[in-house]
Amino acid sequence: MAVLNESERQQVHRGLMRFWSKSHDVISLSKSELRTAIDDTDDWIDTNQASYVAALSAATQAALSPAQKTLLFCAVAAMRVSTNFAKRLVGEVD
Amino acid sequence: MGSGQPVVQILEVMPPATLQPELTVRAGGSTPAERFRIWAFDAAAIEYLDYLCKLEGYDGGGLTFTLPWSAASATVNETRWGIAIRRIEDDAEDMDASHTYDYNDVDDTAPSASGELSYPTVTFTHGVDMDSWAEGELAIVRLRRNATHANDDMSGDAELWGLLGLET
Repeated sequence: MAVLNESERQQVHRGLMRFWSKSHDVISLSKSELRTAIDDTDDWIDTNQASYVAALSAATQAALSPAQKTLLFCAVAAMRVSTNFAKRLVGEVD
Repeated sequence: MGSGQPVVQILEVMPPATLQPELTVRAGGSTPAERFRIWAFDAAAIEYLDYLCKLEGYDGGGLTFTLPWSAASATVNETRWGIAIRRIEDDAEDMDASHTYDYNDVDDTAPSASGELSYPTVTFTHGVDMDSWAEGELAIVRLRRNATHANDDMSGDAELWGLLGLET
């Protein structure tokens, strides 16, 4: 999966601020600091995606498309946030 | 001059046709929980809110507006508020015509806790600064969060709780 372009990173930036505003989660970062964090995260994913794919079994590597591998990663990461958050992403999580 | 009285009467709160903040509810912590109606101003785009106001009991001084607000998620950094006035003079101001609003601004730091309020003020001097708004007349008091200004570095929504206007 390609690195996000400028417009897509801005979308993440706006979306995250709105999400945390709705939930009243305390975020002690300025707008620019949050934006840097998004850039850093996307860059890290780009740098390390080959390592992630290599960690999967050969069968999984062959069976899943790049988008499906990314969703697999996101689903596991979302569950680390909370069960409710994972439900928002993939539906019912029993 | 400068009566100190609440001479700005708010007749109507009017979100503009576009670029308006979201009217939402913030729950309090009591049982049963309070339900505060607040206007949530976005952190990434400039949004506006209009108040139709009347000047009543005005004695020729300046005006000071107070903007009680809270931060939805931030506890640090600043947001930039601005207020501008469009006088609606008798048989003179055509509301169908465009008006260029001239803002007076204030940069205010988020309260130290998300549920707390801050009370910054925006001042106007008598005369042109307040579009020469006069006793008994209506005006549009337009408020904005200037979210794209360099000084507005606060992440997340700024929640406006109301608007107070005194003669000073």
